[in-house]
Amino acid sequence: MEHIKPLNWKGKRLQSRIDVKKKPEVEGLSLLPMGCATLFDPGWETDFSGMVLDGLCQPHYRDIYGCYGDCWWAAQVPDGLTNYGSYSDECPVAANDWRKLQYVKP
Amino acid sequence: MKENRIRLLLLGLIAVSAIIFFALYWNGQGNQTRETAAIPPSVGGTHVSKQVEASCMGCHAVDENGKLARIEYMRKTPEGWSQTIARMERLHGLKVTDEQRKQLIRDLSNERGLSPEEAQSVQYWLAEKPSHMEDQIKNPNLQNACMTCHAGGRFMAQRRTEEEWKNLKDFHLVMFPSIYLNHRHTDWPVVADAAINYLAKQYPLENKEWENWKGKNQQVDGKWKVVGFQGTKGAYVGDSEFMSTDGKLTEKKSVHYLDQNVSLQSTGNVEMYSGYALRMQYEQAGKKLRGTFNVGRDGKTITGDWSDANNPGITGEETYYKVQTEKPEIIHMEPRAIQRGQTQDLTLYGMNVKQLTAQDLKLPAGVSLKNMFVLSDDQVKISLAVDDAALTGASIIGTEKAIVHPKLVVYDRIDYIKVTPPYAVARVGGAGLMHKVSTQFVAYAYSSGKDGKQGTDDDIELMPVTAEWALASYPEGEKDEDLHYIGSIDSKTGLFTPAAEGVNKERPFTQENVGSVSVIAEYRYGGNTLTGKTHLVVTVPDYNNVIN
Repeated sequence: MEHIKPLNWKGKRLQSRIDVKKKPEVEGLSLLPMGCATLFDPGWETDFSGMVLDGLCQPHYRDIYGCYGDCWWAAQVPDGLTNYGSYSDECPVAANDWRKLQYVKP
Repeated sequence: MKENRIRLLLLGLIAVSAIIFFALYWNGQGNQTRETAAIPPSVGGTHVSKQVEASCMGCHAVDENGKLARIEYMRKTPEGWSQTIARMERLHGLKVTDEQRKQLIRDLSNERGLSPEEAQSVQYWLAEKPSHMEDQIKNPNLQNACMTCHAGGRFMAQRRTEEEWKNLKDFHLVMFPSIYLNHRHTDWPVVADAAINYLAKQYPLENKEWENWKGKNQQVDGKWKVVGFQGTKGAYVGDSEFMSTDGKLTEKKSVHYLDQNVSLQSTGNVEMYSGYALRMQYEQAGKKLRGTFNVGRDGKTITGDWSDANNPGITGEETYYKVQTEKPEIIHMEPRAIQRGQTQDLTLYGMNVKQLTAQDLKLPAGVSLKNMFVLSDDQVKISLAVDDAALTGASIIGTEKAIVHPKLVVYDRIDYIKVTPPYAVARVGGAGLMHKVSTQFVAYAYSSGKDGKQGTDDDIELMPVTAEWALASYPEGEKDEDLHYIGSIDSKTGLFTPAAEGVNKERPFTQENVGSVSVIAEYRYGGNTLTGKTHLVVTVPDYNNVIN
């Protein structure tokens, strides 16, 4: 909010309601869309790009079913499309129930 | 209007007939090609084995070549067959008992396995060596079509006919249809075709090594001497015995860590595949270890790796030597390298060393034996004087009268240290079902060689050294936040243990305990401090895992 100025009443109202001093609860990814990568590369979780782990969705439990459901990272995350359709049954919300996530045989 | 409609209808009919005609014609051409790629029919009445016939022939029919479709057109490792059978159970309704599954893996590996040489080239893959960097395959098509998802070991551990390599492409498109989308930066089917041409030439089904090997069986029963190295704990020597009882192979092993003066006993069940590939399940001091070993062609050595089943980052490399009584055989020496201008004591470990005499060793120019003291039939202490002009480098010191496996290294000074692994990956775990994966860092002393320049071909690796270990922020001078969460390194041994998995509410933005840091080793030598550095990524668990 330091570099933008509200022009209309709606903007002004918004500014009045935002506590600019409050520490942010979320942070945008530094390099979009690294967290949900557009390319299929091994080592997504091991910084193959050399850009540290800033681009990785954190916690990864929020993203894992995005990779699982449509078989996006089939070599790293169980694929829900063909091989492991019931993988998430035991653990529907990974961010809460991550202790139940299991290994699979690729 | 009506005439026009009839004309259009006729034209449509002609077009459809033409399409059907050409489709049939091309299909016929395709069949011709398939038939001409003649493959010798199966010899004998059984297809692989009785168990394979019973479990697989419900779907896999005998084809026009007299072979079981798909199965008899490929060869794989025991791990590869195990994955295939798991997929058949998961997706295609195969129902087998645990014992039947084991029998299937055994039969398929024996009849359609890899040769010892073929398996050795992918040992790192089979043993799942942690933080291992594969030799780069310089084929851009393989890099873009295959290795964008998985390591090269996956296809290098298979042999197929050209037709079967082609089927692998279709298999991927059906199993992982998103392959089109996540490879949208390239034309995947085209790149995959080019990759398959290469694979068919490089990894064909037929191979003389395998033909010569198939049906042979190494006999490992009996006593062996063992030498191994575990990063962070150092070298160890020991004894092992394999025993066959009622067709079941077991092993009893006792090893002694030289630096720490600690002895450990392991016992385990051993399975032999393809006549040479040993897979062990050990119990060692309350821990479960698994072994991935291969018996050498001559049957006198066994080499391989072991790892902790509950922390795959804890591993060791090991070599076994068959016990003989004919002549002295040295399997390890400590230290491995000696410095010019000094007299140094070495301990040689092996068998029949009571028979060893000074004349049995061929020492390099400028190195002379001053003293020899036999401690037992397995151990002898020698004192070597190395003059100032002794030839530097590694020398074979064995003769016809004594076998010496390790080379003796002479050096003028330690110029630098190098830290392994060069790119380390540890994984958080230990809170749910995922295992922690630690990293064992090792600092090796190096001599810059004759040219005095670090990092050139004539540099000599000398020995592992005891360094002091620490973690630092990465990139240097950047935020050190990761250091507070990722885990810790043992400053004396170099063992990095990652923190627990899961959401860490203490960490900003509820991140996990992942991060990226530098690992620094400091070694004091001759009043100086030599520093080595490597990179460590602590990351999320590996869910797709061959072993678990």
